[in-house]
Amino acid sequence: MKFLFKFGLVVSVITTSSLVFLILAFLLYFSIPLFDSAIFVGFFTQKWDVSKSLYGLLPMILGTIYISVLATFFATAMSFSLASLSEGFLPKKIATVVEGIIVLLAGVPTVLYAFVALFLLVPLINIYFFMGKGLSIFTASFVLAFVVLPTIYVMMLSAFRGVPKKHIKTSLCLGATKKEVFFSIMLPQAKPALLGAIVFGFARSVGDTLIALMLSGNSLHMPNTLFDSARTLTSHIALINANDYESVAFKAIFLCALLLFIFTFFVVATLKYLYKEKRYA
Amino acid sequence: MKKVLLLVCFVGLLSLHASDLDIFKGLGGSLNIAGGTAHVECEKEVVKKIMQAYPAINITIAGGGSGVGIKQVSEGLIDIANSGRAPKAEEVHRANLKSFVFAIDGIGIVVNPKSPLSNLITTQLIDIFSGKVKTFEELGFKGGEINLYVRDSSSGTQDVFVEKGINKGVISDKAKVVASNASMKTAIANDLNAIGFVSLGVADDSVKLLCIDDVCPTIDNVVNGKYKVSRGLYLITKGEPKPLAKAFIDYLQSPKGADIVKKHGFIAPKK
Repeated sequence: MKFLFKFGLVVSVITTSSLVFLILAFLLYFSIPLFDSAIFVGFFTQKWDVSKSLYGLLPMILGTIYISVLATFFATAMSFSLASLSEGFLPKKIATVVEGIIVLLAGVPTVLYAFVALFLLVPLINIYFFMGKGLSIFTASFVLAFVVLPTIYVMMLSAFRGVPKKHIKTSLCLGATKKEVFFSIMLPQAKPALLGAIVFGFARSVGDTLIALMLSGNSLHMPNTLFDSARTLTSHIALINANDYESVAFKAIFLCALLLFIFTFFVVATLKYLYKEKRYA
Repeated sequence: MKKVLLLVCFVGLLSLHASDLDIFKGLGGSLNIAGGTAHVECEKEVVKKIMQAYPAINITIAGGGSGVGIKQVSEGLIDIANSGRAPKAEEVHRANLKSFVFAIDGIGIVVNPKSPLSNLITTQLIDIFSGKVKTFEELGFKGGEINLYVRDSSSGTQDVFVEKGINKGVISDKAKVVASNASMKTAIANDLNAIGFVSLGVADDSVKLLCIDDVCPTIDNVVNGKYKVSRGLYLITKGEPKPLAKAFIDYLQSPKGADIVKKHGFIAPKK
């Protein structure tokens, strides 16, 4: 029995860890034909227009960056205030209720957010605020913020809870107010973990497909303003996968995926770095 | 309430015994359909009938767009592909595809019901979709910027629209891209300044159909060929269809199937 258990553990560790490398190898294998050709530079400088044989991913890269940065910004603002309120200031009972509600948000399927926004928020923006700008970077990132919010919130909570109780209690005994404890004890000590939460939330918003696909308008031009419509790398993959296998358009999917993969790698590396810093602090 | 229920049961029983469904007798298993989104509502009704009458048959319908459907059927992932365009010669050649037309569909240019537009000439349409005409003012109306809505590269509706509606013109890269006929309808209904195109079978009161060169997209005009932007709705199989797929195609092409096709705003092809 014990042997079986150990065997299972070893097998699962090997499969999961090798899976990452298999995916990387798969993506590299399919995108390598694109590396040595003249079109490679074009991927990062041109626009995407299949009829003119242009396969630039730049509008999509920009779209991804704009939407995810903005979403992370909204989500960070909201979850930081919520987390600091419930850990530092609110009475325990209310804090528990707030936490329950936010964690519940995490269970709502993404498609539901997108769907509700499509029928409520988009017409509202279209008619009352900015004529016909309902499907835009702003809408997508605003809704995406609510998807990312619980993730950042929960990680920020645990960041605050990671601050040794001894320090908090001692300062309270010394006569510090709640506000002073929060700003001079909790905030500085939780800082690396808080930053980690933001980075993690950012990674989550880059990876999301559905919100952007349904709400950002998916147009192919270079996004300039907040109310332009834009396409993310993830929705680009979803929208062009019907192309012919042999076409450059189809192969570009693997480059999109590789870009996302490399991006995730850097995010994980940043997270590791941040948490390491915390340990020695 | 009871009466209604009884009536429903009665109608249900009637359809159970409808002789047209006899071609499914003795068949079972699953049939997977995917691809074009114009077909879906019409097929759903047929599928419901079949699966009620013959519980051993399980039919699934998915979207994705005509291109996706054709790709998946060529790989043998699904049994029937819905396609809003004829398969290209190289697609037919590569996987030995067989195609069957079960309905004729027009593609309507749609705007928001509150839009001032009601008729456009083809050159205006070309200029609007290429992004040359950017505002309603340039067309002589009030309203500001025109918002274009188009479909993704997998769409058969878009292929036919580009070929017949705007004479192979270009589509502006500012156009917003939606992934199905139904989401096109939702997008247009929610945006006063929108213009886009949908399958006539999908269009309803939530959007307004435009006439092109004074020819309105009515069934009559599509049948007599005055309204040019039309296409067949195809069912595509890899090689000869298997018995269940064959029965499904035959049913849609039967007189009973033609009634359903008509009910959904399409035109049944002449035999």
